[in-house]
Amino acid sequence: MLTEAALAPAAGLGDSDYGGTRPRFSTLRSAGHTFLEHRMAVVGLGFLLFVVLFCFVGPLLYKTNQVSANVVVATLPPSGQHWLGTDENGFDVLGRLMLGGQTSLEVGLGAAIVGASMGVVWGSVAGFCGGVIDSIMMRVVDAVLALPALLLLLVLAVIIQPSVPMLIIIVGVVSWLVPARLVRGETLTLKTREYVDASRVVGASRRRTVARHILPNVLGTIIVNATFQVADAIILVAYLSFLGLGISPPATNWGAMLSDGLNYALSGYWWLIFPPGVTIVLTVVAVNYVGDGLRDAFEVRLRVR
Amino acid sequence: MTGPTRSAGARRYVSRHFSTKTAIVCLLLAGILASCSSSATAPSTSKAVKPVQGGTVSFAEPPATTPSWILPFVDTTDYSYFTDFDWDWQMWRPVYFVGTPTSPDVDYSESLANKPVFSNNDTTVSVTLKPWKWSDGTPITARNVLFFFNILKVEKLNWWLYIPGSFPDDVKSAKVTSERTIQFQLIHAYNPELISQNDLQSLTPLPLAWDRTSLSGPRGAGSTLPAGTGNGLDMTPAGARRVYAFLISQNKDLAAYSTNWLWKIVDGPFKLSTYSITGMTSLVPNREYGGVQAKISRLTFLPFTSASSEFAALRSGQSIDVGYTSTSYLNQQSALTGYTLAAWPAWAFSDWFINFNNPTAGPAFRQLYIREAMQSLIDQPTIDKYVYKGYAEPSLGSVPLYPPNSWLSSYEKSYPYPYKPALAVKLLSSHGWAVHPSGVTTCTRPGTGSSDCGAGIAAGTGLTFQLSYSNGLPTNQTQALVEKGDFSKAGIVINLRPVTPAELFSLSPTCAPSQSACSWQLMSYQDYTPFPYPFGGIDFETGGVYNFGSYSDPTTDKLLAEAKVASTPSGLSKSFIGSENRILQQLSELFQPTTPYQLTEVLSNLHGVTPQSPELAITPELWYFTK
Repeated sequence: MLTEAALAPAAGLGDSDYGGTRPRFSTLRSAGHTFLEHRMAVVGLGFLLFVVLFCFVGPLLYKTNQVSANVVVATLPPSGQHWLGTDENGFDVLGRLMLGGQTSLEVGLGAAIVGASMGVVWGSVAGFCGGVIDSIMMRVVDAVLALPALLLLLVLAVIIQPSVPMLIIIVGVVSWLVPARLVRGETLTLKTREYVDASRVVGASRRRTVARHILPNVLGTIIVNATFQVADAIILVAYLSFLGLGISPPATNWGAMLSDGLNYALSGYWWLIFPPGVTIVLTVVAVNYVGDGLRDAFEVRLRVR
Repeated sequence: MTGPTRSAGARRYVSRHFSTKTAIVCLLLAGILASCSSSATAPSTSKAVKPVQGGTVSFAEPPATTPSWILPFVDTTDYSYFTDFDWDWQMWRPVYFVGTPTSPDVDYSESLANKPVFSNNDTTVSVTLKPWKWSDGTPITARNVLFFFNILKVEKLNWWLYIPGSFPDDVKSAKVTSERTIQFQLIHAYNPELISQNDLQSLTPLPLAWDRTSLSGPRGAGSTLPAGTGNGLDMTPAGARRVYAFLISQNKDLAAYSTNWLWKIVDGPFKLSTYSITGMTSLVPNREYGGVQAKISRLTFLPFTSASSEFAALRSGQSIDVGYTSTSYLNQQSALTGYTLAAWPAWAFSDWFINFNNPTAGPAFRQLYIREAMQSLIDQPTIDKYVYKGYAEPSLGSVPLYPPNSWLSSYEKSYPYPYKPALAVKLLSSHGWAVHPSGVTTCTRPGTGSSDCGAGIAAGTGLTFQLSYSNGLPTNQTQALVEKGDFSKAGIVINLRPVTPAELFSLSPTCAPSQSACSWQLMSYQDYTPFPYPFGGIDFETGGVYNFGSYSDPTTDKLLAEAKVASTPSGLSKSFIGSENRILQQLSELFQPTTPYQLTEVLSNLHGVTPQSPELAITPELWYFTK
């Protein structure tokens, strides 16, 4: 008797569920091997790990007051006491870089997850259902895509009091469109594959077909896109903060630090500008390299080079 | 005509201007002191400099504001947060010009009328105009003032300075008694100072050619009759409303400002030359003006989207002759070449509004000891020294400290609520609060006894409040952060909520606890310019127009009412001081350092600009270049 498992392909990460001929670890090993071949991706990953440790473990070792301003020590240049100097409020810049990084990374990662999740659900449903449903759902995507994300963010940030969870949601809400289109395109292709037809023939429900056969095969695309969403979210939050609509002080993020520092661009207070600016650039570049590496890792044709 | 900053409505104007430098009426009075010493009509010049006739002065408008209103009657429903009135007041001047370089009082030498005369036990006041002319050569008459008053009576609810019970409600009737004299009959005797400083300064003569309902149609009958007669469309309420509606419709046609013949009839020192809806506007001298004739040949207003963009233009030398900087940019002063910096302090005090009607924080705010504790946690000297680099003045109460004045009571001068964190802790502890410095102080003894937390405060309630403030300037945030830290010393948590200036502006109306608009708890207004006569009624009496926090105290109301009608100097002094002290003692608002209106940057070869009026008025007819 034919079963769904017997018909399943050895595709992507979902193959082991079906007793495919190639064990899952070999796929992961192959992907990992390909990723490691991408040197810049490895460097980027290393840098990201360092940034995460810097932001979340650093404050435990380098303790500073980041709540109450101390204007008596405002805008001090770097010294042994304040390695990166102090800002206009008397906050230690190095400590603030750690605190700001927490927000930037949390929002970046959180928004990427929210955006990717929404995009996956929307795109896979649209692609798999097709027809009128697909048309309607994708026109919604087109309509929202036509609106500048920054404009939407500005409106939302004014209406809603920004906080880290709220920023994750509102940045995520404007970030799901691209993943939705990508997933929908992949789904349209995948659903015509024989193993999907076979799954239907043996009685698999639509939900099961999407969950077991479609999504596992677009996972690579999703992960790669999500890494870019992280970088985009960090930059979007920086935009918002630059426009004065970020989270409320004394909390901060790298974009807000950069924005505040630019008020003193003509004063020679370089330590208020370069640390957050350089950190944003390096982190975004690192995330993008990691995304590149993951793309290579999940692209079957590139696994063996 | 008055600038918005010169009276009650100024509260909004000044606040946004200070925090974000937006719309405000400015009539600079630089040079007046000197002119008084030698000549009544000519700006003084030192021996070292020789004035040059002519030249164009570029004046930087406040950030994000444009001159989008021209009618010298500001309508509350139409004027915008982003409206700049600086230019308008150069074309139409008020009967009484408020503010000198050293005081907020009326400057009679710059005014269109002589000092008002009170009679009949202060129930009648007569205003006699000087023999000055409109730009079309016709004399400025009492009928022109009556025209304004007739419109004001029927459109008072639209008038941005209207305060119920005040002008024009306190006027029983007005009549023209001679070509240049108009007489107002008051409903009863009022404090003459209040009437002359705060009410009459609002009068602005309007040309009778405006007494019409269409551009090409016939003028009102009064326009063609000899001055002093009582005819005209405006003489009936219905006619006045129609005329006003017509003028407002013309006012809204911005594209026609420079071509509409209505706006070519002016009585101020300047008339409109070019106008752009983008904000770039030029004025040229009105040679029929009866006061000091302008030496400069053109005055151009330049728009800017933000304070930083203005400063960048200033730094790049982009032909700004009179610009501004802020304390946030003081450390960049050396980057400017060819400019002289001068602080422009205002007749103002700064405060945090307390929303007594906030459903969450209201019960705590209604406890005087909590307000006393909060005021004791505001370190004004330190904020002034480190945040505002010494340019701010402490706000001690409802009467501004600067310029020196006779209204400041000895109680207010004594600075009754200095920075004393220990006192704040003691006050809270003695009223049943468990004080947790750097944490959250909570109520442990609910109740209404003298040593309990107070009515409406449940056990476990924490002292956590939200402060809304403008994100317009970096110093606003620094000040808020400093105060957040100081409040934490008594376990009072201040959550900061920076908002755009426009949003802060929208928060200000008073509210009922059930309204969603009542969600704000504390609101920082950088500065407030009261009337020249610092009568606190509109801000502190129950239901006062600018009593945004809904403060209510019967004793304060009684003292303010007495101050309004006290006609003898001794009675006035007693009731005024009484209300001033009560307002301070009750702390209906939390007083904060008052920053200068702006730090003015003046091109070094341009003179007569400074010192500047604390009423924030500009008088460019007194400006001149030197070689």
